[in-house]
Order: sequence, then structure tokens, then C-alpha cells
Amino acid sequence: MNHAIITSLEEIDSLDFIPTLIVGFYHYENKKIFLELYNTFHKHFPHADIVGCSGESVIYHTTPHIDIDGTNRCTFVCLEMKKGAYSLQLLSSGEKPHINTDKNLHYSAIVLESCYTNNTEKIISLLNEEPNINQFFGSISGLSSSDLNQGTIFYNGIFSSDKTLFWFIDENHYFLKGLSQHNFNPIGYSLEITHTEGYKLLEIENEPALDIIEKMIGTINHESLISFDHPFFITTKSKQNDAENMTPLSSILSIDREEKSITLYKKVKNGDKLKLAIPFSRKKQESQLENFSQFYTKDSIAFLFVCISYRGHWGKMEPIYLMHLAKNLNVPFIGFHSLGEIGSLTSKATSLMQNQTLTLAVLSERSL
Amino acid sequence: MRTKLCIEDKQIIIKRIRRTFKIDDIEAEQFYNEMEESLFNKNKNFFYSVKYNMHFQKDTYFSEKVLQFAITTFSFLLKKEIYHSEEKKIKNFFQEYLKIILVEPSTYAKEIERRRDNVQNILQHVSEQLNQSLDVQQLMIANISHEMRTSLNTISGYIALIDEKNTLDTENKGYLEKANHAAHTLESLVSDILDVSKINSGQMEIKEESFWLDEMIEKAIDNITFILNKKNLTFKTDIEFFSQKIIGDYQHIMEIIINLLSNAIKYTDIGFVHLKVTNLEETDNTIKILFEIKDSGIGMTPKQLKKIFNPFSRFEKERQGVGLGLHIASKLASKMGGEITVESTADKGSTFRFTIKVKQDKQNNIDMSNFILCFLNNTKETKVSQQKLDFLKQFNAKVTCFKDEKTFINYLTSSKNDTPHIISILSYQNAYDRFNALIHYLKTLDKFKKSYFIAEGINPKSTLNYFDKVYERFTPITTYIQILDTIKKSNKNTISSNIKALNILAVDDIETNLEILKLFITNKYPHVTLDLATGGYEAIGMYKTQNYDMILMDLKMPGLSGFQTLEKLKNIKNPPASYALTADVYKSTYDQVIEAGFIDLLEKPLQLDILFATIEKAIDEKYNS
Repeated sequence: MNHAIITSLEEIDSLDFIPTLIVGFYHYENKKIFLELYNTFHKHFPHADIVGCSGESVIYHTTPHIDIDGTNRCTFVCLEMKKGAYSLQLLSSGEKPHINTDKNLHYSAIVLESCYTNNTEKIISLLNEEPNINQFFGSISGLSSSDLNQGTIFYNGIFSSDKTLFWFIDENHYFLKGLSQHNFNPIGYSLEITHTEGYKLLEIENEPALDIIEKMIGTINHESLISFDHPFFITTKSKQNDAENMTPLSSILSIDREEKSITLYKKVKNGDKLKLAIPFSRKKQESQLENFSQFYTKDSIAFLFVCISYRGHWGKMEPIYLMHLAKNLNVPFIGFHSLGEIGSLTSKATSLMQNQTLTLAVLSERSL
Repeated sequence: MRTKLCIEDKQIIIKRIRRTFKIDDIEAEQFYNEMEESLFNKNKNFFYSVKYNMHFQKDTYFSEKVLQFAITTFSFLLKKEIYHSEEKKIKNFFQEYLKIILVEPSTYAKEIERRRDNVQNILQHVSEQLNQSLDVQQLMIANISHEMRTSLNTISGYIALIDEKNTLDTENKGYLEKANHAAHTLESLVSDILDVSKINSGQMEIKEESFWLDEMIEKAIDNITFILNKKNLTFKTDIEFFSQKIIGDYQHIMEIIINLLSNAIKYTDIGFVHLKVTNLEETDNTIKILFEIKDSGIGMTPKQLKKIFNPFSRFEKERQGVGLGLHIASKLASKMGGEITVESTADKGSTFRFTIKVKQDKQNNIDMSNFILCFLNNTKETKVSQQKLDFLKQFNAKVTCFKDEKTFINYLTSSKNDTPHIISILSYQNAYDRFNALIHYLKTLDKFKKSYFIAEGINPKSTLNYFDKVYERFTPITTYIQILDTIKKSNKNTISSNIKALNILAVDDIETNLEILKLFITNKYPHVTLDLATGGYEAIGMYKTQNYDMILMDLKMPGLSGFQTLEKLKNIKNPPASYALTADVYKSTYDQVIEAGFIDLLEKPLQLDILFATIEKAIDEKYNS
């Protein structure tokens, strides 16, 4: 599979293959530049599908270069994939989730969503239930209920702020493998969430949520909120028998002192269980990055969805840690900072909606 | 506009890079190229590379070298006139360079510190929460075990009574035996769980009491005789003579020995189990004792050995137990300052060694003057016998020893000699039947009516009806002391304890407990009057109208607790010796009991020997003090 990461218009002419699919990532505020680049790509490759997704910032790595801090505000990967070996589907958030795939084939998938909606968890469940969909990974660009930048999806010339893009990959020709990893351990007892409203935790163990959490972790201040210091392990009622290493994290979006509530990045339900999380040692966090070396496959390209909390945790050291990942993975990657990731925490688990993860999906051509 | 440094300067800088970082020409040139690219094209890769190396380099001086290189290169370039037009660019570059190598890592370190404080805070709160839960859990275990022990007390009591009545046919006796076995298993499980809970919560009390080691060992061996007899194993002992009492936790040391011995028996199907007790080291005040238990059992693999002291370690599930015994034994040993070690080979056997250092009790107020002891030892064993004889002589006992059977018999039958108080025989197995007959005869003579006859080193299967005491090994020192004590007392008062009257008040809210207590006590002591009260107020009523010599009081009762009842009894009149009955065996309970004014605590399920010893003590105090 031919592929190339393109970060500027000048590089288009140097392409020595005709891409069939171009995937681009752009900063929220750079839709205009992205559209200009799209037009140029479209002129050069009128038959190629061109899709994209916005993010907090764009990440790309082509050895030995790594860029995450906006030197390039739009980044593309051009792929020469076989005709019919992939399909794209766009789904509106108001639509009832459905999947259009050939039931006789098996697929991996990349799912890019403009924002977290009521449909998100349903889509993930649907993909998990589809017998012909195996591995899938993805990312959420924005959050509809927040004042954060609205995420958008781009599909052949049109931006949408309420859509989900599915990129189904025929496993007869290509395969995806990957993992989501976070840097936290659960600690203490499971606490029952007893009163919720959408994303809001109102009561835990029948006490005001903020009171009970602050009793254990101390005052949640602005600094700890923007640094995403205190994620929680949230186990839904149906998954309470699952192993702890399969439980996803959920970050705090905001708190309301008057209401004594905590708003998360994900929906919560009464009866879900909550556990506090404490970060691994730096040593373990670094060695976790080395785990990704297992996904090295020759001539592959990887997609990297990094939660914005990583920037919070790693600060200015993030490029250094991503360099460490790049050195161990040894596969060029492209991605962005997201507000939610879709992936699985172990190779055996099904994909779930995650927070605070570094989610990597490596796309490789199946050798015949 | 300049895009490169001049070639001479490039060479100088590359040389400096090579020297500073001790790298080869190619690497130095690559480093230079990245730096130049960053300087003129504002690419950050150079900074990232330096920062990456600073972070992941194991060379602790690397950061120092980076700083040194930055300063020297910066001043070198600024001094050059040809770069004056690029001064701003060079300054910006080095400003960024220093920011990345100095400022950012220090900001990052501060951030890590802040997050570490957060974690510390969470850990502290969570650990407080966990401790609270542990307290609740401990309370729960204590309560459950109390209830289980109370119920077991009833079950075991009725089983013992049914067994004593001897009215069952063989089939039903078998069922009763199985029920009894199950009750004992449950009892030991409850006891193990309690022990683990006590050890983990720091409640395991280590007592300091003075005792004779040989008596404790004898009791431990008695305890395992039942399971030993079920197997065709050779059991050998090699126990040194300890001439002083030791000070330590009698019960816990014995528990460890019993545990190691019963494990050895459990995991050995063919061959032997040996117990060796050695005096390893003795000072004026202390003694280091080694208990070595060796078997020819199934042994363990190195992997199993690593887990041997973990809780719930069992290597053959079909063997009885839940795997708490060794865990408890090792924890107990270390709590007492001792150590258990093990050597083992799979299919060959294991050797467990328990070493403990204890104090010696040199205050032996033993007076054996006027006592006559007569020994026959016609075996090859002389060492322990001699040590024992020396010991007895040390306390003024008149000791006569014989090595020849005929001379010994002549001595006994000759009327001119003073009659020995204790006659002890250590001989060959086939001789004991003869001695049994001899004793039968001697006991018909008036002068031997008060003598005690002891057989040592006998085969466990022999039936020697006329000996008063028989030992498979040596007679423990305590036996001599106890016999002589009994003789002393009987000289003072010839009435047997079982016909002495004693008034006891027993208080327990569970009637079955009282019923069992009554059956046990009145069977053994027909002259004891036992009044039963099922609650505190009932007890107070009885106490007002009766005089009691002893009170047995359950602590956990609805209405007035045992503590409250005793308090009220004290207000009426000075209570007699009062004993608390409870299934709570935490150290805190012992402390509360003593503080409340009880003499001691009797654990439920009641152990008959302890109950009877307590009654004997009360009788003794009433009639002999």
C-alpha cells in the first residue's frame, strides 16, 4: 500500500502514486486552509475520496520529524488503497445508527465523530454487535455540550458538525490493529453513582457527588481541571463483572459548586460504579509507550488519537514522549488531539468510548 | 539573508560537538546540521532531539554538556563579525534553546511534584477509608466467629455427651464420629480465620509465661497422636533435656510445633516423621531452641517452596485443610522473634526448622526434700536419664537408681527401705508386661498405696493397666513436680476433690450452653452445686440469696452484659472468683475482662481440661488455702 504524509502543497507534486483516499486532520480554526488544500488535492486527484476531522492540534510523525505544536495546521495522509477494499459512510447524529457493509466480508474500521452525542455509545455498541466488524478505533473531535471548539467532520468538500464518518476497511486486503492506553490505576472502593443527569454526577452513594469526591481527592481547582488530574474509572451496570483493566476512564469536564455536581466528558447512568484513579509512575508511563512496538508492521501507516489530557499531563514534554513512541513504533503516524477516543484497553477487549488515552491504530496491507 | 554558517565555523563547531559529547564525526555532523536547520529555518526538531536525549539519556552529565555547548557556541558566534546581521536570530535561537533545555524541564518537574502531591492526598484519604473498612471487617469477623464458636460449643458439647452415654450402636457411633470430626474441622477453621485476622490487625497477643519445655512438647505430641496412629509411619523423637523453665508464649509455640508436625504427617504416606529439639545456644538468661521436623513425604518443588508461607497454599487439594496453618505459624514465629525455614526436595521429603530465642526462668521454687524417687534404667540410653536425675537431686530429692532389674525388684520388695513416692521404669519393650504384673502385686501392699508408678519409652500399643502414668518418651519434669505436689496436698487433706462441695453460679443467655456446662460439671464433680441463670438480672437475684465460691459468666448477653452484671454483683457484696466465658478472643477482650475484675477468661468452645483445672483451682483455694 503506497502512502505518504503531506504537510504542504509543494509536497503534492512529489507524490509518485495516485491516491485513492486522502485523510486529513486540521485544527478547529483552520477549516479555510484545509478547504484550500482540499481543492488543490481534488484538482490533482479528482477520483480520490478526501475526508478529514478537526482536532485540538494536529500530530504527525515521519521519521525523523515530529510535529504537534502547530507548525503545520493541516496534515494529510495519501493512501493508494485498492478499489472496493474500503468504503466510507456518513451518519447524521439525528439518524438512527445503522451500518452499511457487505455482510459477506469482514471489516476493520476507523470511526471519526464530530462531537460526542447521544448516538456515540449506541454506535459503539452497534459496531461491537455487528458480526462482520472486527477491530475498530476512532476519535471524537468535539463535545456538543461544552464551550470548547466545535468539532467538524469533512467529507468530499463538506464540513459537518453533527456527523460520524465510518471508514470500513476490507480485511481481505488490509487490516487494522492497535490499542488504547491510559496512565492510571484504580484505587479504593467502588462507589455507586446514585443520581445522574446526562453527563452530570449529582449524587454518589446518595451524597452530593462533589462533596464525596472532594472528601477523597481534595479540592478540585481550576488547575487540576485543566490538567485533567482526576479522571474516574466508570463501570456501567452491565459491565460490572469485567476486569478492571478493561474499564474506561472518564475525565471531569467541569464542576458546579452550588449544585455540588461534577460534569464528565461522557454520559453516566444511575447504578454505574465509580473508582478513583491515580497516575502511574513516570517510569511506567514511559515503558507503556514501548509496548506499541508490538504493532510495527513494514510499510504501514498509523493513526494516533491522543486525548487532550495528555497535553495536560505531559505539558511541554509531550513531543518528547511522542518521539519515544515513534522510536519504538517505527511506523509513521498522523493524528490529532481529541476529546474522546474509541479503542480497547487490551487486545482481547471490545472497543469502548475512552478518555485520557493514547489510541493507536496501525493500518497495514495484508500480504497475499 | 544567510541560511548557513561559514564552513570554517562549521568545522570548529562540529569539533566542539565531537569533543563535548564524545561522539563520532558522522553523529557530530548530524547534530550540527539539525542545529543549523533550527537556527535558520526555525525548525524545532533540534530542540526536541536535545530534550529527548536529556530526558532519556542515562548519562547524568549530559545536561551539563548541553548547557556548556550552548554557552560556548553562543559566545563564539556572537563574537564573529560576519554574523552581526544575524545577531537577533542567534539570540532568539539560543533563548529558545535555553528555554527548552532549562525552563521546560523545571516547569515539568514542578508539574510532576504537584501531581505527586495530589496522589499523596488521594492515597491518604483512601487509606483512611480502607482502614475504617478494615475495622468494620474485623468487627464483623469477631462477631461472626463469636456466633460460630457459640454454636460449635453447643454442637461439640452434645456430641461429647452422646458419646459419653455410650448408647449408640456401631453404625450411629460412626455417624457421631463423623459429626464430631466435622465440628472439629470447623472449629479449627474458625480459629485459623480468627488468628489470621488477629495477626493482620496487630491484635495477636504474645504472652510471657513460664513453663517446662518438655511438658509442652509432650502435649504437642499427644495432640498429633490421633492422626499419627492413622498412618503407618515411624515417629521418632530426639529431645534434649532442658533443665530450666523457659519464658515464652506456651500456646503459640505449641501451636507452631503441632502445625509443623501435623503437616509432616499429612504429607507423608510412607516412611518417617522425626522431631528433634536442640539447645542451640545458651546464655545466663536466654536460650535458643531449634525444633526440627523432618519427614519422608511428598516434598516440594522450588516453585512451591517460594509460596509455602503464603495464605491458602495447598499443594495437594485432596489433603485436608485450607492452607492457613503454615501462614499462621510463620507469622506467629516472626511475632515471637523466631523464624521458620524449610528445605525440601520433591518426592523425597521436607525439613522444617523453627528457631526461637526465649528467656530462661531461673526462679524454680521447687522443694523435693523428703521425697524419694526410684529409677530403673536397664536400656542403653543414659544421657537424658542422667541429666534428669541430676536435675531432681539438685532440688534435694532422694534419688535411687538401678541398672539391674533384679536389684531393683529386691529394693522395692525389701521392707526395710523407705517406700519411694515415685517409681519410674525405663526398660526394653518385652519387659514391661512383667513390670505391669509386679506393680499389680506391689499395689496390693499397703506401703505402695500412695506411690506412683511411671513407665517410660513404651510402645504406644502396649496396655499397661497398673502403671499410673505411661510415656512413649521421657517423663516430663512437670509430671514429677505435679505428682509431688499432689502428694503434699493429700498429706494435708485426705478428702478427694471430687467429693468436696463447691457452689458455682453460671450465667449465659443461651440455655443449651448452660445445660452442657451443667452436664459436664456435675458428671465430674457430683458434689458441686451449679445454679444456672439465663440473664444478668436473674443472676443478681440468685446472688443476693446464695453464697457462691465461683461465678462463670457469659460476656455477650442481651439486657445486662457480663461486664455490667459483674459490676452490679460487686455493689451487692464482694464477688468470688469470677470467670468470663466468651467466644471473642481478641486481646482487647482479655484486657477488658481483667480490668472489669474477672480472674480470667475461658474461651468458647470450652476446653474441658481448662474448665476442670479452673474448678480444681477453686476447690483447692476453698479447702487448702
